[in-house]
Amino acid sequence: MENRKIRVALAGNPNVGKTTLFNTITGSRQHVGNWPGVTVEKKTGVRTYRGYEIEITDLPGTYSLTAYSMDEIVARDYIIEEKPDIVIQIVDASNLERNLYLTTQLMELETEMIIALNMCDLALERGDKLYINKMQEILAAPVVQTVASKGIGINELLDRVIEQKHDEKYHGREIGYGDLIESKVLEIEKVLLTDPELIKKYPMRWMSIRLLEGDSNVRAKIEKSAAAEAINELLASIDQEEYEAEIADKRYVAINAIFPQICTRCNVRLTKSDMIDRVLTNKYLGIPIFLALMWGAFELTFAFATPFTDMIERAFVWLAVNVSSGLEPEWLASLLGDGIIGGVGAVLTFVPNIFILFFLLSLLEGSGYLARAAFIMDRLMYKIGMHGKSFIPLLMGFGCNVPAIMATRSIEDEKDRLITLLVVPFVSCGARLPIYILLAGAFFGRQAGTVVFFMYILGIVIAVISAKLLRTTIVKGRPAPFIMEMPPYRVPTLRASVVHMWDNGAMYIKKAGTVILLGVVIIWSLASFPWGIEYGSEESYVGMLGHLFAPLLEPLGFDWRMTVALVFGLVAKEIVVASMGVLYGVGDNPEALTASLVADPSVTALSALSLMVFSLLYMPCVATLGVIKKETGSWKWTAFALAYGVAVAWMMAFLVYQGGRLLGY
Amino acid sequence: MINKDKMLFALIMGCAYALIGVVQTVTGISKALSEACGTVYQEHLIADTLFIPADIIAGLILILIGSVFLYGVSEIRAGVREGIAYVYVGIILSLIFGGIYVLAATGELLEIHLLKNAEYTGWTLLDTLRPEIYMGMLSLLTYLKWKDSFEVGEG
Repeated sequence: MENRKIRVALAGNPNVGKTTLFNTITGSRQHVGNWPGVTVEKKTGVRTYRGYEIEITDLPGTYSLTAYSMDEIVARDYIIEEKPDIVIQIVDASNLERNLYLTTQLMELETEMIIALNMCDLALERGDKLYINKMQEILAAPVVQTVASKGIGINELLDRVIEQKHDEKYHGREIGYGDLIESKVLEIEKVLLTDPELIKKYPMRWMSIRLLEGDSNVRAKIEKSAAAEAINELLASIDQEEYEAEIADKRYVAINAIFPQICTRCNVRLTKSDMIDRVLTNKYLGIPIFLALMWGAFELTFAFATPFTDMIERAFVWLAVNVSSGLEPEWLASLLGDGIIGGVGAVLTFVPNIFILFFLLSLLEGSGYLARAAFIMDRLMYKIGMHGKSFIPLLMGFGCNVPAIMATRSIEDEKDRLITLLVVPFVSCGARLPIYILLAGAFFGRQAGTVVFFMYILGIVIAVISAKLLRTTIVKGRPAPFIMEMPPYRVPTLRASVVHMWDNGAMYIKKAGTVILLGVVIIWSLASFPWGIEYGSEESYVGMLGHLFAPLLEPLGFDWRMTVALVFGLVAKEIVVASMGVLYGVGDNPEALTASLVADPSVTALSALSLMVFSLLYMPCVATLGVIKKETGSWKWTAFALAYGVAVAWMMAFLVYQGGRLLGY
Repeated sequence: MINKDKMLFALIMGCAYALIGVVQTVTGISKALSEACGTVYQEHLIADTLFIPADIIAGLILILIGSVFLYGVSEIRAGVREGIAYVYVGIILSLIFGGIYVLAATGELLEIHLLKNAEYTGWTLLDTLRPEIYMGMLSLLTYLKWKDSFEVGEG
């Protein structure tokens, strides 16, 4: 039976369609978790094919297998230590040359390898001619042409997996590094071979090459070995940087020799993807086009979602009226109407906006545009002291700050990473969107979409200014340079976009049924007690709580209700809206929360704007603070993120409110 | 010859987008100023005739699309064969923003006909029309005609 089980690892550069291939093969039989000890995502899935159970592990996307990032270490450790039966390298056929660098490194790991030549359609459309047989011969591995997004070549790939498991038709090839390096490799190998434990666990030639390249992670692996001392002596006698450069150079020499034999371009011409790139990465037009597209996304999020939010709002009003009217005891009617339906309903009303925004962002990501956005912003990012790679976590922060902070692990330099991690919470996540939609919709009419767009821009601007401030004060230094590959433009598939939208949006619905529900019950309780007072009045516990904090927030234009909403919003930002739903008692009120806010004389357009600014900046939610602590391993930096956020939020909201009043608003 | 047609098209579209964008931005600014000063906002004749709303940001985006077309014209005129890329992207941007406002109009129609929202009483289809939509339609027709001819060969 064991013989019918095959363990496969998917390796490849970022943006080569690895995850699409993984999804196409495994369908819904997936498990998502973390790699042991780190927060890099681990995806595994199973596919039964021709009576074989094929277990597939999606390794992190990497350009090489050095030890410069956690992704690279995780990927190669899995191949070496877990020893999968087959490693499939997904290669972007339209970017073959660059992908071959990883191939040369995988070859050294002495593993059974298959090459999936993905996105062949794009390469062929461009006029490339690929010589598959020659490629198999030179790389000594089966090569299968695939188009993962259309499911083309998948069965053939699985057939090759089964064949390769039983019939080791191909035998490994190695890159030659020249006499000088090869003699050193042999010397190190000789010493390593004195330790039987190392022989069992690692490919000796690979280990020798990595040691010559000065790989600290590999050095740590031999630290306890009896061979360690001799190896250290040997390495101390050479200039490792020089060897590292020479080894990389030899790999490129090999690639330059291989490439013309396996691919020829019969027609050099600009594809549509190249044409789009020429304009979208233009020095003058690139950033304005990026901003215009983002504005368009928010405009549409607002305009197209309105009828759907209205429908949900009406449904909740109907529900509240029918559930709570005539229900006994009175407190239960109030709990259901004012508390649960009013609070949770206020949050769920914005589900269409959230889903539309995530859908549009996934379209931009799926098309390959967001990778360009990082490229366009790189120069600006470098100027303000941030690493170019930081833009990706910042963009991810639009969805949720928690995975965005985890994504900073791909930034190698610790200082670059710390700065990015500390400023990500200023990027407006999906949880803050309901606050903007509620207040902008109530007070800014047809300009609501623009106001929401500027909230997102403000978040980015504050993040950028904070990064500059940190770089010039606490975390001094220069950001490291970065190389980023730009995938070809693709028409995003509806399925992938919907799945991405659902992954992000479902989290929001789940929160409404858990933490937000709990929050509204607590707020309702505080608004109802002590017994005998008017619900949600200033005499209630919630009123007392509001008045306790009100002096701090009064200069920002907030009344006690807003103050309470902000206090509870510390747990999760959606609770700000849910709290207002509870405190304004809209559950059994035919008029919706929007109308109640507009009718409240203590809430003006200016205080609403100030509230939006404060909510954007004031503090990461509890989950984000938790992940900051985990990633920095420091309470000091966690406390800094919290205190800095509150201080910036207070100052900005003060400027907006008091500045607006001075201008006569 | 093909590039000459495309250059002419880009020139017309570039100028139209830029002009409409300027009108849209200027009317947007004058409306904002009227509101700030508490005076009555007077609709402009050109804006009214061409269904141009008073919208500063949307106006700036029209100017941006116009600039992309006109940048292409300047490159093609200078003999840069890749200038055609700007015409192609100009059309795509025009389609994207046209699409955005068609969807926004669909949302408004749902409010009127499905939800019978009182806020939209007296609303007609013409109220949803704006330059992004009719200019986008022109781009759509052109795109359908030329979609396979946007290529820059080795020459």
